[in-house]
Amino acid sequence: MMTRIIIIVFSLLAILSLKAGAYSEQLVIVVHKDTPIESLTKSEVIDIFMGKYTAYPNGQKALAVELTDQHTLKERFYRQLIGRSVASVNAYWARLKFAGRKRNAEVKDTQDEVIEYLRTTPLSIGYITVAKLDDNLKVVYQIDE
Amino acid sequence: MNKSGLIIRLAVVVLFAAIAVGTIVSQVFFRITYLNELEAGKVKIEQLYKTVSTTASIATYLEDKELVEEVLNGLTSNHIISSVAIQTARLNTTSPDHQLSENSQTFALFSPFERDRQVGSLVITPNISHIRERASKISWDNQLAITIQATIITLTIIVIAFAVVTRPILSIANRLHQIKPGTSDQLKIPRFHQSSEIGQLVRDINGLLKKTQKQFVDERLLRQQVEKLSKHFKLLFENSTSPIVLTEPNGNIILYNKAFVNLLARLHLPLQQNFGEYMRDLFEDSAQIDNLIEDSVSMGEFASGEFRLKYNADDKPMWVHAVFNETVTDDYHEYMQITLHDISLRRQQVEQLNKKAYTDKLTNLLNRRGAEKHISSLIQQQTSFALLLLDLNRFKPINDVYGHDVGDQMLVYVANQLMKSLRNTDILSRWGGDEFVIVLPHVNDNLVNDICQNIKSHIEKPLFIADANESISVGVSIGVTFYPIEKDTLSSLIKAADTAMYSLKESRKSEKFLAFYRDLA
Repeated sequence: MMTRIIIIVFSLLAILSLKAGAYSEQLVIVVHKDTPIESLTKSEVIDIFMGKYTAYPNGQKALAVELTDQHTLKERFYRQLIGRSVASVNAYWARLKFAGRKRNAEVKDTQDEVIEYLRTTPLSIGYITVAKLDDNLKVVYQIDE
Repeated sequence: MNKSGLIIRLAVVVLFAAIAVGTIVSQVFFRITYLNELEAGKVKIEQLYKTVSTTASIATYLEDKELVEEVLNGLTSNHIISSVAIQTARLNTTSPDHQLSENSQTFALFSPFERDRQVGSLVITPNISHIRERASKISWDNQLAITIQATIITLTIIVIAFAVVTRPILSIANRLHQIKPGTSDQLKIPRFHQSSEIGQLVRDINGLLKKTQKQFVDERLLRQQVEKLSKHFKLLFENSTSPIVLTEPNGNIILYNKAFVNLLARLHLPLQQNFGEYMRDLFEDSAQIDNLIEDSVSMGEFASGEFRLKYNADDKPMWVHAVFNETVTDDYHEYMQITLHDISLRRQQVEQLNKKAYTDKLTNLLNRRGAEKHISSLIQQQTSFALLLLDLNRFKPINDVYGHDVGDQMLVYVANQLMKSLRNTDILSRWGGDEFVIVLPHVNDNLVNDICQNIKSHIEKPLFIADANESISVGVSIGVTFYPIEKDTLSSLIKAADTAMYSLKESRKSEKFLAFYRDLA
């Protein structure tokens, strides 16, 4: 019995230690801590970022914050969320632009600037790595790898 | 042109066939084209859907009216699409006059970012009337092409048929129409038809023509020969010296020659249509002819014989050798051919010779040979008769005293006297010297007695001799015998009569002049 408990504990420790490095790089969707949203579905996240809705399910306007195209995190984000490249996403927006729809998003150069915007802007929503989480931000969706 | 001519017929048949086939083919073709076009429309609609699917997905995902309408307009600008409808959870946009039909196609629209999230649907209704129009236009075009092709083929066939078949046949027919059978004319084989059926036809026709010509020539030759032959026969028949007559079985004369006309003239008879069966009326003894014909002709043989024709008392008798020949032609017509050869002259000569041979030159009575012949024939016929042998008494002295001339004179006188005392049927002959033989057929004793008495009285009448200025007379002794009661041969009869007669001479009783042989015994 003892040995079994010991094996489980070690195993858990091993998994946790293994995941610790990767886990810190995982992307999460966060909102301003005062936003009255506790969690979102993947579709709701996609709808907000791909311009279907410009508001949260409760009707409050959602302010999306985005990184510049050069940022690697942006590529990762779209790859993981909808399986597309940034170029493809840009093409999508370009097409909508012809139809008269304009994207309504704040674009930042670095993650820190994103975090700063999220921290200071109510109803804002964006994506950051887990490592950058702090108390001013609220995770509403975690992207699975 | 001939209404029922080959070319017209061919053209009509080909034309009707073309129309019939064309109609059926165009109907079938239209149906096939329509179905093909319908299928093609479906495929095209699917392609169109694929073309717009990305935009449509985005539009329905975003439920953006503008984008949706852009898609709608894009699709409806295609002729094959009648109407389009796009439905999302919140939007239901359709093109004008939207109507669903059995051919409508529905496509599900998914989110461009989540493959399994349906965001709406796209309904496309094809423009059936357009497809039908297109199909009918295509089939019309095809039909036109087929019609043109058929027309060209028809005309080509007619032209080729005319050139290859009809024209040669027509020319053959025309030429054949002009050819006179029996001449050596031949048909020419049309060009390029040496080894075709038409060439064979011409060769066969030429063969027939040649055969016909040969037959004509042969027939003409034969006819000439027959004419020549019949001319010869006619010559033979007409110039025959013997009368020749052809009659029907009932005796009607069908054919006769010049000699027959001459014969009738000699008989002082007019030319008649009929002289009785087998011309029996011409003959003196018609019954004789009847028997002859009955005996021989009925046996299928020809009959012939020598007969005397009827003749006037003042004319010479006419003898003919007649040949009766019954012939049956191939078509079963019976004819009797009668040929008469004039044998009068020969007959006359023979008769004269006979007469000379059987006649006593001095008295003109039968001589011994003549008497023997007559008696023999009576014996042959078994006719009963009495035979008288006469011997003159006191004749030898006349010869001695007055000479042979007076003797001869006396004999002639006796002969005449005997003739006066006999019947027509009796036979009188000078047997030799002063002996006479008399045959009396069918007589009895009394008649013999009477006749003998008559003879005696005639003979004993005196004869006046002018030279001597004296009347002289002779006596007679008669011996009689009877056939067949007493003797039945000539020699025995003569011998018997002679015996009877000599019995008288020996008795020297001048008052008895008649002795019967039977009385001697």
